[in-house]
Amino acid sequence: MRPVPIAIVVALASRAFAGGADFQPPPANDGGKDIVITTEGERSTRNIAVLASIAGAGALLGGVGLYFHLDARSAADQVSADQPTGQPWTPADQTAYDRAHSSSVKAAVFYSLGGAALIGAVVGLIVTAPSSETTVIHPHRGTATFAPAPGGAVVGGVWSF
Amino acid sequence: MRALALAALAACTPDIAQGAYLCGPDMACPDGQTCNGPDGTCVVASAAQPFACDPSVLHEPDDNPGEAFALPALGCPSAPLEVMGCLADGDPANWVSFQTPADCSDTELALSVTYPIAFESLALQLDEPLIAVDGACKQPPASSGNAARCISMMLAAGQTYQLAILPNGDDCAGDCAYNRYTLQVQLTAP
Repeated sequence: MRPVPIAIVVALASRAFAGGADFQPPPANDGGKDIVITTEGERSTRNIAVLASIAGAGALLGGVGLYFHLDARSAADQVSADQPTGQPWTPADQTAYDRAHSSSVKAAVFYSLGGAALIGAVVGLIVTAPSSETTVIHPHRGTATFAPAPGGAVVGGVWSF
Repeated sequence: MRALALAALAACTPDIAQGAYLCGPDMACPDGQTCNGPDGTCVVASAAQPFACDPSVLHEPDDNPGEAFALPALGCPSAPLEVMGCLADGDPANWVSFQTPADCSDTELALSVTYPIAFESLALQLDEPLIAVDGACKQPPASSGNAARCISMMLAAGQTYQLAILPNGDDCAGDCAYNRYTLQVQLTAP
């Protein structure tokens, strides 16, 4: 007996296969298997620019804080002593002491501002994260089609959703 | 590594142990420390003692030439004679007298007074009426916590001279109008 050629055609009209979509195997369903399509949201260029600017500002402020921190440490090292130096406390020492204190305060302020900006950027990154879109298709039970064709037949299915 | 980084971050404020520094001019000390009167070092305020003259170096009354404290006889030339002294709060002057040997044809006097810079600055004045006042010394004092003033001049042989150690301002606006000092007297043959 000669074999009969059979063609199976399945057509799905959907954006499920567009770029970025996640196609999951459909779960069991009374009317057929669900088709779940998850489309990841995309962050806008403006959003990225704003968040990058905030993070950059935070890094910049942190850098300024680091500058004052190093300056404070340098000044502190000039006058710090845990043993008798045999030297009198001079106006120059007082100037270095005051500079250490002043730069230390400035370092703390800039570190705080920079840290706040970085935290703000992270929070913004989380808050403004674009939501993904999930589409669930509940297909009804398909209807088989069969059409004779020259030299064989075409077998297909028709679903609606 | 993390500990090192934390230590580097923390070490930006001065850490000064008490006694690490001598008092600066006008009893200057780091914040949180006070000038200790007995030794002129910077200590925490609770440990600071007030300035007081050692009674053993006082020769009061010696506030005018007529009451001058007489120094021991000097040779010709003499070894450096060091005399400790103290100008108490409000003391107008300490006068001392000395005599040049009669057998010296020419005598060069080398006088210096060395005192802590923490308290009132001092000056030297030779004789009344005035013969000489002090000037800068050729040699700086050994300790940078001290200042010194000097007189160097020729004196006649066999004469008695009076020397005054006087307050010279810089007295913390009156709060440190006192000081201790070391007077050095030497006669040399030029």
